[in-house]
Order: sequence, then structure tokens, then C-alpha cells
Amino acid sequence: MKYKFQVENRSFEVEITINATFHSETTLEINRGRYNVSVGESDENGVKSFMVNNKLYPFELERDPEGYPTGIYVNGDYYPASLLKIDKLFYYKEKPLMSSKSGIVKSFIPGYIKKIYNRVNDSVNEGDIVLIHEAMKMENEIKAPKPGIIKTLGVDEGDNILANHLLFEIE
Amino acid sequence: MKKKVIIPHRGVIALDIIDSLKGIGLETILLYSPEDSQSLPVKLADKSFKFYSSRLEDSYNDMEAIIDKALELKADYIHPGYGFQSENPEFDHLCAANNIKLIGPGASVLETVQDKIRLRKIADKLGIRVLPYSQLIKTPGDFESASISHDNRYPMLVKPLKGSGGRGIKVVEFKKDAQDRAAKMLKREDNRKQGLFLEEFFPFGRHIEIPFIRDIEGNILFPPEIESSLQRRFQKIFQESPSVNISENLRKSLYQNTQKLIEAIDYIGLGCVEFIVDNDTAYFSEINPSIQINTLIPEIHLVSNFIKKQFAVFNGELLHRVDGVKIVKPSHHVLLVSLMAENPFDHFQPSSGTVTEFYSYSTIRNIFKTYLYTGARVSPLYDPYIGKIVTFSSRRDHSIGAMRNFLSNITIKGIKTNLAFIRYILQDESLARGETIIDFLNLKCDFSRRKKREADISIAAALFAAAFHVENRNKNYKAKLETMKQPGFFKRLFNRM
Repeated sequence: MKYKFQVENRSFEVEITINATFHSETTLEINRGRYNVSVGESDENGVKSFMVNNKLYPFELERDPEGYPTGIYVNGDYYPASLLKIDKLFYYKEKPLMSSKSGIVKSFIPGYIKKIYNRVNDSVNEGDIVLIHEAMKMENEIKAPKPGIIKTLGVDEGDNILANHLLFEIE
Repeated sequence: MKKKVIIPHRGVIALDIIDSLKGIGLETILLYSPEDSQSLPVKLADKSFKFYSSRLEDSYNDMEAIIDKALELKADYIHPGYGFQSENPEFDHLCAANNIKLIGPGASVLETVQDKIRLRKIADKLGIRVLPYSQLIKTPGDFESASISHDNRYPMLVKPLKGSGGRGIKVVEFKKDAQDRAAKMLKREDNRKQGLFLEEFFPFGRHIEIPFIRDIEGNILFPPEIESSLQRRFQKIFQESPSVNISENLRKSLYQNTQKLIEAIDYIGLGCVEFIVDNDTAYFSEINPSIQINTLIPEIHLVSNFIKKQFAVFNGELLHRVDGVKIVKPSHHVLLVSLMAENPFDHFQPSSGTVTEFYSYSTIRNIFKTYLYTGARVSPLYDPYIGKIVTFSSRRDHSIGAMRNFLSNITIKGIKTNLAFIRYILQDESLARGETIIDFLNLKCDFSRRKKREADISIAAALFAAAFHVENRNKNYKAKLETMKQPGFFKRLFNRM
């Protein structure tokens, strides 16, 4: 998979094979430099440190309230960072979908409806997860943009949908 | 029976007091707020009692509650540490009325020391040059008449009369600014009660402290002076001893002036006199009448525990091997930095939360005092101060190197700390040259204009990509496991085959 991201206002591109788990050393090419990366320590919450070129780097991802990484702490130093693209997919594209207050929620990217939590006539609060939209192996939790009752549901579980497809409408 | 000492305090100083007084056979009783119920002092004290609320005025600052508990437990002493009620003469009166001894220099000294204007007048009469100050300002109308000697030179400081710990101090650049600031500060009730005053500010000066202990026979022990010029929001970040910026003559006069002053107010116990030095002229500023964060520095010079010393002197014992005045020669170059739970990358916002991971590795030349442990909570209610680190060596550059080395051996996760900020100060060339001035952090070493190394950015990028990839992969894997747990999954799989 091709990742495009920004660190410290500089943009980087790196290709990581989809099967890479980093349990064995994996070479990343960044900025014309080669970095051999493997997992250092990990626990139930995920990876705590990576070995980069045989030196251990403990790190911590900083996230915004929705869970998107916005920066990384390495050795106590902070680097603002954000993901721009995965393959050809814009990572931040689904964000405006959540901030729209109109009540009509449409899909921004083609994908697959994995699970629906709330059906027609269910009342939801703002931020409740209505359904899970899977795209490019990424699960996106589609949340209710405002409190109300689900008036229409444009999809069913297991549907493959295109972009700009009506997912649901809240009134 | 063991004598009992009440410690209504938290954090590193509570640990220090518990450890020291336990060591000389006292029963240590900690009073702590509900917010601190999982803190390290509670684990180490002989006994601990909880205040009913976490609000400061209902816990560590609640004099009546502390006295009530002390009476109930028949305690002999109260050790107030620093901050909170340690510099309050009323507390001493209250303790005395209830037959409990408050460890400190006593109410009359505290009264003199607390009133900064009165103290400066006393020093002035003794022929000590004092920091230029104005009359007391109690209402915005007083501002016009308040002036520093004949010429008002800006920048100046606006200070509360009885403040401590750097709280409430503001730098003002011109008259209108000062007037506005004073009017704003007078809106607070305690400022109105005590009053404010103006003081000359020396951005290029140095902040020198002379620690001392004086016993009942008037013997004085003078550890080497401490320079604590580097301050952020008037809180000392980096301190060193001895100072590289004062001449031998000036040093002598500082000791003489300190001696004159503490003898005049008959100060018995442990304390610290602050001077501002500008162009080889020393101005007396104030006295800190309690144990301080930087008491650790004299402890290293003398290899001795100053809380035990303070306790001994308080009980009327004489200083060991001190006859008259003893000025200790510095044995090492000692550095001390203050570790704060503040995020230097986000306007030094205090950071709170649970420490998810904490480890460090010490050598023979450093001491790391902190109340953190893996799983400790840093409360948003209190000061973000979480620890202090000391390194010492025979040479200044070696001490700085040792400090930098040690700071890179510390890992704290879960909360944000100012470690990166301290590391940035330590690698500064003007610090290495000893150009430590009071406004250092604005004039010489601005953290916001820091540059990062290209190699470090690339490594951060590699880590970020790998971390995101692994996280995403695990998330998908977990989702797959969830679907496998659903009833009928394997049946459907089988049918498809």
C-alpha cells in the first residue's frame, strides 16, 4: 500500500506491502533513505516502540477526538504529522461527512456496508455510530451528524455502493 | 513513644519529608486530598488520612482541618513543606495556640519576611542595597503616587505583596500597561487585601540565592550560592551552583549582607535569601522562609540531609562542626532542572492524566526525585511540577553533558512533560558560555524558533508510517475475528466451499 503523509510540513511517500506486519525487518524507503523497521515492544494496546536501523525508538501517536493521528512523539520530541492518502484514496475525505449538519449523509468513497446499528425510526444522538462503511480495507464508522430519528436508510448490510450514494437521512 | 509529625502536603516534597523524618525515628502522618489517594506519598507514609474534599481551601490550605487532625492524633509537629501554608504566620499562631510545633522559623520571622516592603525597609536601614520598589498599591487610585525612587524606569514588575512561588507576577513595559495590569490584578480579592507593589526588572540581571541555616546560638552555615536566573513565568527551570557570573568580592559581600539581615531579624532555621545581581551590583530582593525545591543543591555540596538538619536546629540543637560562620566551598558544579507536566509544543499547557509508562536509568552523578511511577495519576488540580533532576560533576561542562545524557535516559508516556524543552535549553551555546540572564528564555533561547534535524524528521516519518500501517492492519484483523465469532460463520463458509 502506498501511504502519502506529512511530517513537520514536509510530505513523504512510502510503500508498504499489505502483508507487512513488521515482525521481521521491513525496509522502508523514505526521502531517498532506507530504514529497516521492525517491531520493538508491543502489548494489547498495540505497538509501543519500533526498531529503526537497529536503534529502539519508543513513540506515541497523538490523536484528535475522532481518533485520527495528528502527530507523533519520538524521544520526547513532538512532530506534527497527518496522513493524506492511502493508495489513491484521500484519507481525510470522509471527515466533512461527519461535520455536515444537514441530516443527509452520503458516501464519499465507494465501498461496502459492513454493519448497520440503527434502523429506520430509531432515534439517535449526535455522534452515535449508525453504520460501518468499509472502503479499501478501512472501516469507517459513519456517525449521526445531529440528534434525531432516522427517516430513510438508503443501504442494507452487505451492499456494495458507489460514491455519493445516500446512506441515511436524519430528521 | 514515637513522636508524631503531620505532613499536610503532596508530591516530591512530601516524599522528601516522609523519608527524612522517618529516618530519625518519627511517625510520619500524611494528610492528603481525595485526588491524591493513589499517590506515592500515601504508599510511603506511616499513616495517611484523607481530607474530605480536593479543593485547595478544603484540603492542604485548610488550617483548621489540619490542626483538628493533629489534635485528634496528639501530634507533636507539623511540617508545612513549601508553598501552601508554609509561609503563613497565622498558621504558626494557630499551631502555637494548640500546643503543636510548626517546623519553620516562627511566626514573628514569617510576619517580617512575608511583607516584602517592610523587609526591604529593614534591609535598607542595615545598609544593604535593596531592589528598587514602590509604595503599596491597594486601590487603582494609589497608582499615581506609587513610584520607584525618582525615575520610573521600565520594564517593571507588578507583584502581590505577600505572594510566593512566582504566582501573580507580571512584567510591564510602559506606564499605561502597568496601570491596566495593576487595576486588573486588584480585581482579585486577596490582592486587594494585601496590596501590590512595583519593582524594577532587570532582564539582563542574574538571580542569585544564598541558602543558610542558623541555629539558636547564632552559628550560621552557608552552603555555596545558587544561580537560578533561568525562569519561565517566574518559575525556576534551571539552577546551578556555584554561579559562574559573580566575582569573589561580590560573593563575599552577599554572604556578609545575608548574615547582617538574618541576624537583624533573628532568623533561626533554614532559609534562602534572594538577590538580583546586575553589573556586579547586588540588590536584595526577598527571603524564602521555608525549605525550597533547590535545597537539594546544598544537600549535595554538603552530602547531608537538610530536612533532618532543619528539624534538629528547630529543636534547639547546634549545627554540627559550625562555630560562628562557616562558608562551605563548592565541591562540585551542581545543576538542577525542574520537570513539569507541561506540553512545550502547545503553549506550555499543563498536562494531566495517567502515566502509562515510566522508566529511567541513573548513574552515580545524578539524582532524580519524582512522585511518578507507571500508573501514577497527574492531577489537573495542582501545580504541574512533577520532579527534579540533579547532576553534579567537578566541571560545569561535564555537568551539563551529564544532565543531557540523563534526560535522554528518561521515558515518560501518557502525560506530556517539558523534557524536550529542558533538553533544548541545555544544548544552547549561550548557556554553555554561562550567559544565563533573567530573560534568557526570551532573549537568547526561544523554544518556538527551534529547528529539528532532517534525520530525526525522516525517522519520525518512518515510525509514523509503520505505526499507522500496523494499527490499521490489526484493526482489520480484529474486525475479521469479530465476524468469525458470529453464529453461522463457519457454516456459511462451508456451504460456499
